[in-house]
Amino acid sequence: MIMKFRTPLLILAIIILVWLQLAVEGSIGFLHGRVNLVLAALVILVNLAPRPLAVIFGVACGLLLDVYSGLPFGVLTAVLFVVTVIVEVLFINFFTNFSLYSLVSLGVIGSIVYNILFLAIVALLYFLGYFSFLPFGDYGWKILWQIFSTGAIMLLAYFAINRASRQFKPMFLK
Amino acid sequence: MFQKVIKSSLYGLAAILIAVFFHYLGWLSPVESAVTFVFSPVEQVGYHLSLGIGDWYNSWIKKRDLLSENEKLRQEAVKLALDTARLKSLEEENALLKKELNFVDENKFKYVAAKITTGVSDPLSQSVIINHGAKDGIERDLAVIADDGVLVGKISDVSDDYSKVRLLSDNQSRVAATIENLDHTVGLVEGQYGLSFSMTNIPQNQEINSGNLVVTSGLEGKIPKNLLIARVESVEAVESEIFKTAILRPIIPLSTLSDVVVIIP
Repeated sequence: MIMKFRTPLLILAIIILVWLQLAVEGSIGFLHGRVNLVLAALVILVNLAPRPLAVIFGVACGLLLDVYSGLPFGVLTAVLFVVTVIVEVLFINFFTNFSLYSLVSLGVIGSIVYNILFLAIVALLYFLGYFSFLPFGDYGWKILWQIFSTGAIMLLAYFAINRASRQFKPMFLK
Repeated sequence: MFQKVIKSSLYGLAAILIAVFFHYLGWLSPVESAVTFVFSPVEQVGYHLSLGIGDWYNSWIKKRDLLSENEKLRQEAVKLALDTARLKSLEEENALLKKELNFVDENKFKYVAAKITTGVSDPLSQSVIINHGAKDGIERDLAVIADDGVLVGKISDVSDDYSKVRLLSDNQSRVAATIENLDHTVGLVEGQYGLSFSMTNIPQNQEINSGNLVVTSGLEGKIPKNLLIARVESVEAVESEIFKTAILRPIIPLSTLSDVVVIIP
């Protein structure tokens, strides 16, 4: 049943998540830059969805977010895409057992990689003259908050999905 | 499994390169305009919802300091009542504020009233998106004022049906301004890490007092003169430096905007 409506469901999920992310970023208050819902959903999707779906999701969300971004077009798409690939590789090789710590670790690593890549691209744009400042000070706290909030979302998502479905039942070697 | 990841990654990379290429050629702009047009009502709901949540959070936080702040304000009110010397400047301020309130009508500028549909999606920018674009005559670098006549930002990017407004608090924001003091000091109002803004490039010999009003200087072709920007909060001066900096206090909070006006000179 879900497979039949996979594409419309995916499109709907992308729209809702981007909308929520924009609402969070748009508040320009405390949550600005401190929560990354798209990234959190991406990590969950890497764990649950068949292979190319997470990449499609990452690229589509990135392109939509880039339409609303104040940065040069393509920055958020590129960052989300690379994070998806890295999280997928880590999931396949190291975090395969669908346990709580695997999901939280993937979320935290994904968030760290996302911010490193984001800052690297912004720094590159700065040195190439396409951007006029380097983020300092308050932005460091935002990164820490984002890593923490992504881990917390993973924690909540794990218990929610674990209770509500047959997904995320840990598999350990005996 | 790993090969599948590589294969899907290559497809993803190709899709990104094509999309970015098409974007910079302008071929994607009808799609981008359609997306923003279709989603703008939903985004407005989300934006206002998040503003509401933000307001609730801020009021909750502020409650803690309410009593001490109230006492401080009482003392300030007493000082203000006793300080008759400031009466004149307050009257001037009042006159200027009144002038700004009906700024658009009095100056017969063309203008476009716009609604903020959402904020931007990246954590570094302090910008908002409005529901009017090039089709309505909006261009890059035009002044954006809040409905009571205070400059809140400049147009940074224009599409057919929507525009991005860089708020004054954005780090990349630069506006030529004048302080309403005896010297009519000219400088540059710059954003400060999304938190506030300051006026830089002020010569050391200029006398600036806290409370002075800051208005646009008119040196930028697309921004009219005498648009109210902010009020001077404090002045940071180091004797060994050529210029000093004035820390500014916004007239209206930039985080709660919902309707703005774009001035077309």
